[in-house]
Amino acid sequence: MPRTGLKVEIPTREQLRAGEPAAFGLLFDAFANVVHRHAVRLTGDWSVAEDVVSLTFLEAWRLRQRLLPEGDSPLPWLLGIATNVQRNTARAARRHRDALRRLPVRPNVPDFADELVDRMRDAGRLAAAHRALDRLRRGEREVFYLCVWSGLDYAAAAEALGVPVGTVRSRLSRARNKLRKIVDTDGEPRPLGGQLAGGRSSAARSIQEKKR
Amino acid sequence: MSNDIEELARLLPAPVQADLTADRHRMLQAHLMREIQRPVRGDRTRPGWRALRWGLAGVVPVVAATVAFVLIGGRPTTTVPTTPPGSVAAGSPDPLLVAATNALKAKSSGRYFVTRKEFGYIFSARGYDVLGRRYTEDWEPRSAQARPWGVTQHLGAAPFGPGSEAAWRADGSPSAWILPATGKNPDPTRVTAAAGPREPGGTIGMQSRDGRTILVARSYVLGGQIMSAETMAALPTDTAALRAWLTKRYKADPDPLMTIQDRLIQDALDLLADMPVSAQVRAAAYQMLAQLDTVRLLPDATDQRGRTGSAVAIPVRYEDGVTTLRVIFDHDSGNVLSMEQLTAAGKLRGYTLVVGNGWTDEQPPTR
Repeated sequence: MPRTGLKVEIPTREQLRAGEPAAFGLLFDAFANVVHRHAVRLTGDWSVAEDVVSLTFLEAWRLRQRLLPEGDSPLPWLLGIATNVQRNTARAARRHRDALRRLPVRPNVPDFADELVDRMRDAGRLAAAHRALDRLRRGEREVFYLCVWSGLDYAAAAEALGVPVGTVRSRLSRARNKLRKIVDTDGEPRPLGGQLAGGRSSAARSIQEKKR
Repeated sequence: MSNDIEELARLLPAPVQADLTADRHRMLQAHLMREIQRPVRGDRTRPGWRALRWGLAGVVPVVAATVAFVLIGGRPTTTVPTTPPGSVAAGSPDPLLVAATNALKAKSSGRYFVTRKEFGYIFSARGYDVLGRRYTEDWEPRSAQARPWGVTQHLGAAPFGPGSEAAWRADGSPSAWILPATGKNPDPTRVTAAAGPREPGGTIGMQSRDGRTILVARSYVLGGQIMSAETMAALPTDTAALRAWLTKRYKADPDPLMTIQDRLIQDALDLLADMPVSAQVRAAAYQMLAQLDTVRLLPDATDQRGRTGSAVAIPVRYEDGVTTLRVIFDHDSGNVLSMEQLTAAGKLRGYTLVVGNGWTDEQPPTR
């Protein structure tokens, strides 16, 4: 498992295109957590995120022949599929309805109190980030998630989304310009016009930030 | 690598590092491996296991998936639900749909509709849980002229769960417990370990008139409305029509606490476990359940009387931590076996076990 720090074997594109089940097992080992983190960050919902993970790999299997034979890591392709699944989760779910029905049920609530506290805190932070990101256009948001939070470079994001590298570059640039204005130094979106309740306290916070 | 990305990462760093737990990772992977090796119709050649080029053989064994929750119970017949390799067989159809088909075989009418149930309720005593059980038997006549008949019986109560018997002994081995008054039950209730006598009642309505207790026909509620016998007999038997019939009633009488999907589930289960309806309507109820996304298939399960069947999980909104209803049913006969209330951790809180229900031309027992 990736978290132990051991190097995980990554299947080749040839094996994936050929539909070798063991290759898909390795693909899952290598990238399920990346897809899961991506899905949690996009949706803010841990249960939906698991469904997105399942659907992403089921779609990857279904679309395995569309993976181009030339190329490096299959991760961009996989995150592109995850992005598509998230754009229209209902459609992907319908397509794989029977498979999803056979998925073991996930408990609604984490098993341990610590996990729950972490989960709630994370949910709050995520909601705050989403408030800022919601001001971006979808294309800008998608490249943001892929590059800034999931670690893809321009070329990989371009492959994932099926757009030219230049498009990725310009979307990120616009995202940066917008977010500079939206996000104050605490990562909280600034109220528009500064007149909303709490506007003064966030201004006070940002002054303290600068003093540090 | 790029100023834009670096600056953005400073402005808005990733707020969550949410990895799958080891268990969920294993389960999702096993699920994926099973799904991609399911034979597709018309595809006679299934992808086989091949050792990878660099010699890592058997990299991802298809492990038996363990359901996320464990049924904590004290009875020897309770099993930890796991998926034996064959139970969700490759290419097997939805057990709910199989049940729908087989439900049609049942008798569709008769002199009486008989329902036999066992209600299990679990409450906390001093340091351990106790399971109390009650049996009810209802004979609902089809004709308004005939009289309904019913009995009820407290089946006893016993410590429930691992370690509970020792804790019960430490408590002085009580032979009865007192349940405090709650919002629903204004009087405290005494629950004895010993079983009680059979008493007239059942779930059939009882009324006290002039010091006598008489049985009255119970009322059934479907779609938020009380149903007369005529309306029940006239229920649509086509799944889409039944669903539309119910949905129309929900919209006419909205419930702020329940979504339409919640209400469909509740009514489908009532139709299956509780109501004197035709076999066709029961089949339609199974099909309605099969169509709902929130109804999830589980591995086969065993109820509290040791009967095994297919199972589905339904998320529910109850108080005191119950989050899932597990419905166990026999897809061969189309009978619901049990509906169990489980917490998120898989702990049993209560259940309604259907000992049996169906139409009969016999007469009720003479006491």
